[in-house]
Amino acid sequence: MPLKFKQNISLLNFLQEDNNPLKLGQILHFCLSHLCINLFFNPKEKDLLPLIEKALCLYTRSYQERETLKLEALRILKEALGSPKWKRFAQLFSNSQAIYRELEGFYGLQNILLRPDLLVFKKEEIILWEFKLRKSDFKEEQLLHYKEFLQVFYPKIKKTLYLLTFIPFDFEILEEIGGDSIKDGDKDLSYTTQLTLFENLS
Amino acid sequence: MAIKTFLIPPSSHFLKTLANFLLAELSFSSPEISGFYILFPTKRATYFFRDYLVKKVIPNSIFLPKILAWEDFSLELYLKLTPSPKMLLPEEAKILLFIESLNDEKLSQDPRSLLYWGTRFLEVFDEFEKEGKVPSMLLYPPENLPQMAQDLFEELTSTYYKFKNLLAEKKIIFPSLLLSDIRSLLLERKNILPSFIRGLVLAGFAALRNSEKEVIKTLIDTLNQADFPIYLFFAEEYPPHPLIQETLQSFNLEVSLIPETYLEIPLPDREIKLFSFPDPESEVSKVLELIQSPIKEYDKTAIILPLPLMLLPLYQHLENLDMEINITLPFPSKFLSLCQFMQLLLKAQREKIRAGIYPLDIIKKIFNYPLLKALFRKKADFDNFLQRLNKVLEDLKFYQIEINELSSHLEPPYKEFFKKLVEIFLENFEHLKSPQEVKKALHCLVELAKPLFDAPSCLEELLAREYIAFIERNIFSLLDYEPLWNNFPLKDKELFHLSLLDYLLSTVELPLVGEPLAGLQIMGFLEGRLLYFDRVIILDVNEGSLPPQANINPLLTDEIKRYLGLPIFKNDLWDYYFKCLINSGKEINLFYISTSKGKGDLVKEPSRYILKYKWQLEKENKTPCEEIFKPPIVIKVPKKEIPKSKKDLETIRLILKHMELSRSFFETYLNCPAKFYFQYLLGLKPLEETSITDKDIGNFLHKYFETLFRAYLNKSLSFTHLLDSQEWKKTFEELWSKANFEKRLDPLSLWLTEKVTKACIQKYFEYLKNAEREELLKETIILGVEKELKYKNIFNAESLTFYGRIDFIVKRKENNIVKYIIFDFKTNPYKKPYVKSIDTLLRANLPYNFTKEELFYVRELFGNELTNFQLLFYLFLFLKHKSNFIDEEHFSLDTGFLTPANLKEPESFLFKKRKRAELTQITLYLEKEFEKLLDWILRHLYESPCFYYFDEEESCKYCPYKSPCQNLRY
Repeated sequence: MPLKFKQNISLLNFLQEDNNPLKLGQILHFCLSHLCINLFFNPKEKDLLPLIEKALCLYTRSYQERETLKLEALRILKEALGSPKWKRFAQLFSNSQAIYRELEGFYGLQNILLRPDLLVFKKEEIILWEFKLRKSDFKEEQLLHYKEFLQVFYPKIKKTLYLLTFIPFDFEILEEIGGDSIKDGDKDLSYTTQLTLFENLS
Repeated sequence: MAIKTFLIPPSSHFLKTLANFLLAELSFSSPEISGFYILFPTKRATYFFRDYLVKKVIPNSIFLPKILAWEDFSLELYLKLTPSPKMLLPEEAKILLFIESLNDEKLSQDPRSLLYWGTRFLEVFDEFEKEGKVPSMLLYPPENLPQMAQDLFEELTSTYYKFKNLLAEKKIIFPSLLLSDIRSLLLERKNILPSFIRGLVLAGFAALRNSEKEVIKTLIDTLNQADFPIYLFFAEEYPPHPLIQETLQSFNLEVSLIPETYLEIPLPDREIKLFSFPDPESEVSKVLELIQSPIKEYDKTAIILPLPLMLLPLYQHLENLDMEINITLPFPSKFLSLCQFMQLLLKAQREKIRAGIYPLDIIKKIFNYPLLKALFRKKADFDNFLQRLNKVLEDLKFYQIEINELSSHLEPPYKEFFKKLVEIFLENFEHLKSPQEVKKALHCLVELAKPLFDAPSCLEELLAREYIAFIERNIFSLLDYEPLWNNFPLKDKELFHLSLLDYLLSTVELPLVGEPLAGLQIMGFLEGRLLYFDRVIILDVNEGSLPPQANINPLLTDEIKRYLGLPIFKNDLWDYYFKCLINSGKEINLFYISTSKGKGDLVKEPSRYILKYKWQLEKENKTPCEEIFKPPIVIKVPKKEIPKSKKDLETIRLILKHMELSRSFFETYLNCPAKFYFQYLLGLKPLEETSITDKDIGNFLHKYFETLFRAYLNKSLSFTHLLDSQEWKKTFEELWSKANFEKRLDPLSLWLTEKVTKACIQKYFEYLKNAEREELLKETIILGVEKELKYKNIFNAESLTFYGRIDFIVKRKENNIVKYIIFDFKTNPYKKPYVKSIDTLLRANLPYNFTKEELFYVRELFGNELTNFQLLFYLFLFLKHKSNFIDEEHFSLDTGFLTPANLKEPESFLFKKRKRAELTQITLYLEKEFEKLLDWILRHLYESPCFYYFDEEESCKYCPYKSPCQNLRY
């Protein structure tokens, strides 16, 4: 067996390695997360453009790619904002106490690192958002680990797992877990630190 | 909240100790920890730290803080602080803005000089950026600098402001200027820091430049005011290194050793071994010995390469191991064959601009570039195309050529294929008048090369793929970004575009990043900071590598830095890094090359750090653990022969049966049986010259006499008439114009060659005219020109054919004697037959054995360099066909060389001054005995047990089979 390189190799643009969908997804994710974290649900084009520019700085170094991605991302975001479901989407963030984008976690039982797209902490519920460019990009097994990981820390809080797609803009509940113990309130939380967290953030 | 500052001894395993401390001090069970930033100076340290952190909590689960390298944090911070980000362009684009900042006078400089000095001045700007200062003018720049550099120094401040204004105007930022913008942004927006940074750890930073200090100080002060925890950790023992003390002072911090309970390795447990080698080959061979066992975990073994180029020999030794590796280092692109190929294309264009036409040697190099064959799926088709193209080039021997003309010599399908390649390699790069055209040319080339690096399986492919990615990501971006070019003063300058492309393609360092973590770690010196391994192997711990010999910038000498108010750094930082490195593992192997004899780069001395280490041990009365590898003394005994196999014998049989055996066939074997083996049995073809040589002028003369004499075939020829009628001159001019020498020679050589060639012919004819006038030569009849003669014989019961192509067969009447002469044309004016060796030949007895010595004996019968063999062989064939040529009962025979370049004696004969009886004896020998001699040579070829090497300095020096011969012998 010859030597094996275990390293990331740079993707090339024109060799069936068109990674634009992946990057477009990352840019949209960045922008939408930013809007959600700041609870800014009625942005104008002038507000979106700097956000997209920031995401482009992070996810691509190719100018040619930037221009294509910028227009595409702006178009998709504007469509999302104009979607009849946008208002409902915004409502899901009301009363949120903390919102985390790509909160990195380590799930010890499976020895894996997890990075859910968006975690919204409310007093009685945790909403986990999984963002995908298209519905076909979603793989159900991803959710299993997220679910188990959150269960470790918050076994008795209701957890709702949402899938959001950008093309077309839509979202749906994938799974709801728990909820019976919501009434039990904060005293049943397994980690005491969480209480202070919510206190601080609220 | 107090700022906590600790020293972590590198020998305690810095990253694991840090993980121990942070796991105890912070809560990782809350998502709040994600607001905590842990910053390291390198990306590699972040990968390792993240992994150690999570491994320490298994099977529990945790939320993670932000673990970032300073480089990534800077970008994140910039994006958080800026309301509207600028266009982040690759560093390579900086040079364009610098050039735009210059005045017209400087823009008229040679583009390569502009790019060279521009790059050097950008380094000066960088130094000021790092210090957070505006460059000051240098009113009296050093006089030894070129005028352009002196002028730029005098205008340093204004050029810098123009450069910065252009950046602002075009809304551009570069990674190296992020810190400068962050500093400005922090002035107004530092209050937003606590909204996203809720704790800070700075781990493993050592010396900081002023601009870094300023940003870090703002971060510390702001977060401290917001009462967020702040920790600083330095990889160091107590008392700290002066560099660290200086950093601590600038932040006004006190430091202490981290509490012992957190130390991963409480007591230093380390062994240092020194290895001295005579050369890099033995150095990398030893590496292989040390890493033979499979490496499962990524922090077991690391090979540190202070010289990135050592990656190549190291990889060659490692490539067959069943092992996973991570490579993390910057590799210079100029050593990649793809880069060198592109540079060759650019050189072709520069030559075309200079001379108006492509030089043939570069064209040949381009199409014969080894990488090119790999690009084509059907290798055999490409080989056929290349063979055909090379044949055309060899035949033409032009020194420069119009591509269309070259194409006209090729036939389909090669013609179309050639045109397509010409379009990609040459035409696309012609007249590059705009950045879009530059990109188009480069793009086509990259598209052609890409499939080769689709799934890299070796280092060269991996590097080439990174190189293509760099072109797409960086070069295409700067060519695409219109604001860079809108007012660019040289945007329509073809030569500038070529130079820029050359500069961009060849000066990059490709960043190999070994991630995800696995197996053997190969990394550059700086990438190894803060890491800890069971075994560390550091190659090239030599002066020049450690501390590294920085690229000398003539604008940043210590003297100039002093004038400019820039800090002068000696090797303090490297001393500190080295100290950390030799504490970063259980077993530290320091490899160095020690050679005392040689020139320049060949002399290698152990690094000052090795000497320092030895000196310290000596003070402690300890002996270093050192192994010295001496170069093995290998006496290479060359082989004396190539054994003859059964297959060889069968090949010989077939050759004898099917080939017409020429004088060259015999001469090759007699000259050197090994050469015969390479040429006839292996079929190796010697490389043909594609530029014109003396031989080509000789061939022209040969062709001239052939054409002229053919017109007089079987007719009487008067040289007096030939000269007086100027007929000779007419033929010369016709042939000279057809030979295309004007395309094969430069004008001066053309003029000289024509004069000399013409004079040679004229002098020869005058020599013969004189002979006619003095009645020494009464009549000349040309009986044969390039006359082919064959003779069939039997060898080993199979038929074979002797073959000769005789230049000229001439019948002359001299003093009432009819003489038949076999002439061979020679370019070398001093070539003469060996008259005396004829007597030896006539007396010789053929040997019974077929050894090397016997063959040597036979060879000597034909005089030095086998001079007489050809003449006798042709005479032998002539005599076999004498009834076709000779009418007279009484005649004389001779054979000799026609050497028109010898103005005094253009003809020389083998039997000159021989008496009639002697001539009869020779004729009889050739008719009856010579055949036996040929038979003996063939028998030797067939029956000797091997092909012998004939070691002869003179003939070996010019032998076209020198390389295979050397390879096979040693």
